[in-house]
Amino acid sequence: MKDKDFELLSQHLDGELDELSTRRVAQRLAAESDLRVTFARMTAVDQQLKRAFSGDDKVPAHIAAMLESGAAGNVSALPRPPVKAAWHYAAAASVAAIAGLLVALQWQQPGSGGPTVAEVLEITPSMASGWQPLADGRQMRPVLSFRDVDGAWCREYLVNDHGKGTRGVACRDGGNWKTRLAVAADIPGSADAYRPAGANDADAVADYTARRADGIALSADDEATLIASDWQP
Amino acid sequence: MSALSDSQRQDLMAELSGLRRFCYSLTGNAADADDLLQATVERVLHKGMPEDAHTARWTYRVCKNVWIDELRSREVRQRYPAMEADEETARSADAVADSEREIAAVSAALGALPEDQRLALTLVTIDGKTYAEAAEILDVPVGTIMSRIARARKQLLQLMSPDEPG
Repeated sequence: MKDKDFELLSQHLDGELDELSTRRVAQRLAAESDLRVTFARMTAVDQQLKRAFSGDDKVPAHIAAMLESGAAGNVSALPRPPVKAAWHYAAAASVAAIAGLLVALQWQQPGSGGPTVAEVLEITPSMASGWQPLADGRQMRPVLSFRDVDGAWCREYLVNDHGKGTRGVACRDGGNWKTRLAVAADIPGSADAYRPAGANDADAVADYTARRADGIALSADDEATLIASDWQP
Repeated sequence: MSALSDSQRQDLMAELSGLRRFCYSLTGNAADADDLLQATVERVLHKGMPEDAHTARWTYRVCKNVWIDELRSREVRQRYPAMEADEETARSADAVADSEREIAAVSAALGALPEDQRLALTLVTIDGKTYAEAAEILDVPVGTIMSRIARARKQLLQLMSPDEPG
């Protein structure tokens, strides 16, 4: 692959391209499998980086205290905390209410400046954090991938519509992604994301996945391989 | 240049978590990251910053400079001990969970990047800075950030998937 294309994909991944360039890259990704494979691998490595370092923002209390007091060197260093695993993924975001709303999955949106939900599902590895901007201003992240008992490849995803969350499952059918379930959901990390699930909360997506998944969710490597092969195992 | 104002201190307090992450990505381990964070905060508190400075960008630059000073003074050549896969560490690596193994692999690959590429990639990918913000922190043109990040990603792909075409 040419260095220029690598730079282009890198800028696309970081959301640094203008609207026209973003649209052109999206078109090339849809048409060029080599580009798609590289972008999928690039995105996967990016997610690994984020996962690896996402838990490393714990500020020692004595440093925060030093800054608060404004007096450097006046605070005794506390014993260092033990090294801990860097990444924790709170998988169980509670589903607030089943709204029955469907996410419209369109393969292309002519004139848009970013990918559609379906395009993200097609080429973007699952993410534990971070968001992929969509053409319509919303953000989304694929959460996991699994094979349905009917043989279709399916993906759980989360859409963030300016703080309003939708969690769903879409499955690949004839080259298109069709939503099978979508419910209103908390956004992990939002103010009320970690409240205990109440008796009336129905984690419909988790139930659906548990009921319909043929085996466990795909590993990151298996998922990347599947994406690179256009979901043809 | 005077000591920090209350508002600068508050701004810096809000940046501490991101700065700690940046420190970790520079040093590769929690203990050194805490030391680097403390040294950075101490330097800012001692030397202050201009009234019109952007607190976050100023502090990241101080952090980078503190780390470079540290490397020079200690002549630290190996910042990622986990990369030295001797028999003992290889055995223990076998025993850790997949996620921890992945973290070790990613950290090792990141540590193998040239310093300028790792700094640019860390600021954008891990800390969520824009290219323009990273360029200001590292005092280089935006185009340089773009090419450094692309080169870093290319090398990471080769390091982490050596059998696949990059």
